[in-house]
Amino acid sequence: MHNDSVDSSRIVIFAENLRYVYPDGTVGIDNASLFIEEGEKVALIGPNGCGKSTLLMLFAGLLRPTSGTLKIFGRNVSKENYEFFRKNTGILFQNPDDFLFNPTVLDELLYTPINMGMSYEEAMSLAIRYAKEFEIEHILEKQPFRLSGGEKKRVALACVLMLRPKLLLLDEPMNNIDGKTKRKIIDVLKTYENTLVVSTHETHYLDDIVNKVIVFSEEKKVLRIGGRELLQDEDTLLRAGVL
Amino acid sequence: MDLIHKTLKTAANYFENFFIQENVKSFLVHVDPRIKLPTIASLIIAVTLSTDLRQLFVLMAGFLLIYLLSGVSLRLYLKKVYLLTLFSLLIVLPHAFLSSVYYVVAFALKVYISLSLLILFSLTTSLRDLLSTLKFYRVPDTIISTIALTCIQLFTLFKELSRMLLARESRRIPGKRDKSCREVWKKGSFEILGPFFLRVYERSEMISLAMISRGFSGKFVPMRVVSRRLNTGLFLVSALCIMILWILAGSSFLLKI
Repeated sequence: MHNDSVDSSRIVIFAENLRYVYPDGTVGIDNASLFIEEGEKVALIGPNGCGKSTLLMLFAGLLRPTSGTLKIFGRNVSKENYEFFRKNTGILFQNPDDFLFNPTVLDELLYTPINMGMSYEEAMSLAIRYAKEFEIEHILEKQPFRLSGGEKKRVALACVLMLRPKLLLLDEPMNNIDGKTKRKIIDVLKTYENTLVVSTHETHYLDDIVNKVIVFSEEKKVLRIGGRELLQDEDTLLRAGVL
Repeated sequence: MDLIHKTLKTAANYFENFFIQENVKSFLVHVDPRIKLPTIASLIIAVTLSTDLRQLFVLMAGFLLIYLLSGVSLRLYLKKVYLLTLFSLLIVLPHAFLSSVYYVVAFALKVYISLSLLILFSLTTSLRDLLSTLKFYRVPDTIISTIALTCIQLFTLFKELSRMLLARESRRIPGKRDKSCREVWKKGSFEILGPFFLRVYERSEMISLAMISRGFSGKFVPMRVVSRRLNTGLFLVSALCIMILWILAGSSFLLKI
């Protein structure tokens, strides 16, 4: 699957014949083969239910493939690599209600740095810095479930970005949010310097952000891989069920 | 809306609110939880060990003092305390006819004071502080993690139940073709319970994955506890006074005076 021009040491994600089946027998992703290089900005595009979220969970090391090969930073998804994955990957879930589980927004912001071994003072100063950057400092003492959709998304994004993961995975980041939050997310995506994978079924905001596009079909298979020109390829997008 | 649906909805809302830690700014919030936890626990033990009403009245007065210091709004407090107290009263009420009214009053008072103390503690102590305190007292990690996960999952459970009941209510026309909760229950078809538990299970799975993705490794990591010495000292002195009065009320000392 490798191109000759690709430097294998720069490959962040390598998947070959990747398949994941949920315990109830539902196929999550079927026979996906792809690779993502360091620093690439990748869009996973496909209709609802085509396996984008499952793939991101696999890339984050949260699920283990049923069959096929998956290597993230050259490592298998296993218990031994658990800490490495946590320190180097950050994933934003599609539904912030699943992602935010602490009693207050401040607790949410402190959760990851503290679990990563930072001191209380360091974690607190990082939390305050990101609270300011994401304009959530006025809701630090609020319960996350009482926030608006946009606020929840900003809190979740702040939590993911705090430790500047080498691999950032965003699952439908533009779902159910206001214009202000959308602009903030687009700013973050444009300036993010590490490897980025965004799953979405909307393509209008991706033009200036991504340099690689992977289109999935309704059959949960990779339909096409290409550059950002695929975003304008109506035929492919129609076949995928995106348009 | 039939009775069962209404009861389920009230119970779901009650417990959903019960497990929420409200953002209360008060004197008690700044009391060191490492002192607050054993003190409140001692007062609750005193409540359960009380053998006569005089002792319970002393503890009741003590609780009122702590409540006044806490700055918790009356409405918020009553919203949390009413249901379980009424329920316990209902359970013990037949004893008024079988044994004595004294027993009923003492039992209800014990439940009320203990619950009130617990509510004050939960309203003025964050989960983070509580877990850090348990860690400080060297409670085993398994128990601390179990408490942390239980608190998160219990809220999910009742939130999901509320959502389901609201969704169901929005699509029902009472008295029409739709079955009432009672009919569903009678048929034992698990039309509500099955999907409810499945939904809770799926949400819990997602929350667990979110926790793992954010560095949770099965152990709670404690944080520094922030408190004020003056508040802690005043609280401790108040609690000590209550305990002394409670011991005196239990002995015949006061009667002799």
